[in-house]
Amino acid sequence: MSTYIISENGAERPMTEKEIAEYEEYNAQRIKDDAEAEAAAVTALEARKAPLRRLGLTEDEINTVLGI
Amino acid sequence: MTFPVFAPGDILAASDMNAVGMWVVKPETTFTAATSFLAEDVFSSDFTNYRVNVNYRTSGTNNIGIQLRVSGTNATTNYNAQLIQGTMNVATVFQTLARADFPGLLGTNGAFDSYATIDISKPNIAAVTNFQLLASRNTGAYTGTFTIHYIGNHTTATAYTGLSFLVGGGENATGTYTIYGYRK
Repeated sequence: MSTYIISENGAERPMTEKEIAEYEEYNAQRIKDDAEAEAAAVTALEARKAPLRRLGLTEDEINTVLGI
Repeated sequence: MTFPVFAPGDILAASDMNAVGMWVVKPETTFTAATSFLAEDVFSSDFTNYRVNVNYRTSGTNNIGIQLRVSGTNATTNYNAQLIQGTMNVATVFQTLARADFPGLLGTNGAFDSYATIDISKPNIAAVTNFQLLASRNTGAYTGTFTIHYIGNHTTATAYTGLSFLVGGGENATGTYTIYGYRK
């Protein structure tokens, strides 16, 4: 089992089993949340690129226009 | 006595003390190589809005998420956030909704001291809690500077009393934090 350290009001101690379970559940959820947010960001970026592609710009030119 | 200029021997009058704009509710507190750190019993009806100052570094690239907390239990749903980020010459706008945390403190990937201020509105009132975070983030090098401006909210109508900071991926963080209440 992993050893996680929790700092409670400035005093460090190992997490209890209950705290570890809560932390691991949180960690799994945030991985999912971050992946969904990244996918949404990619979709939004593609939406910005689409009209520039229709104008015939190359990918490098599009990135320059968008500042990325 | 004219606030804020005090002379030796002056009596601290209530009217002067009541004019103090910020009050320390959690003096500077250290966390060392911690996967999680808690600030218990910092929010109360004494104040409506709060300021949290955090000096931090993280062991890896994972971020430090923030959850509100009451009676020993973290609120694990209903956080929404919007990021405006600048790095190198690029600005990024990023929205992330229905999260398990307010994803405020971004990882430094090692010993690159970073600094964040977080304003929290109404955490101890059973209503929406709003967050505003501004951070100077250094990641991987002091030339790896990021401007971080996160805003967001937590929509569960609960009166919270504390904060939990959680580093993702089993990584850890080291630093200090101080919490202030704004005078009503």
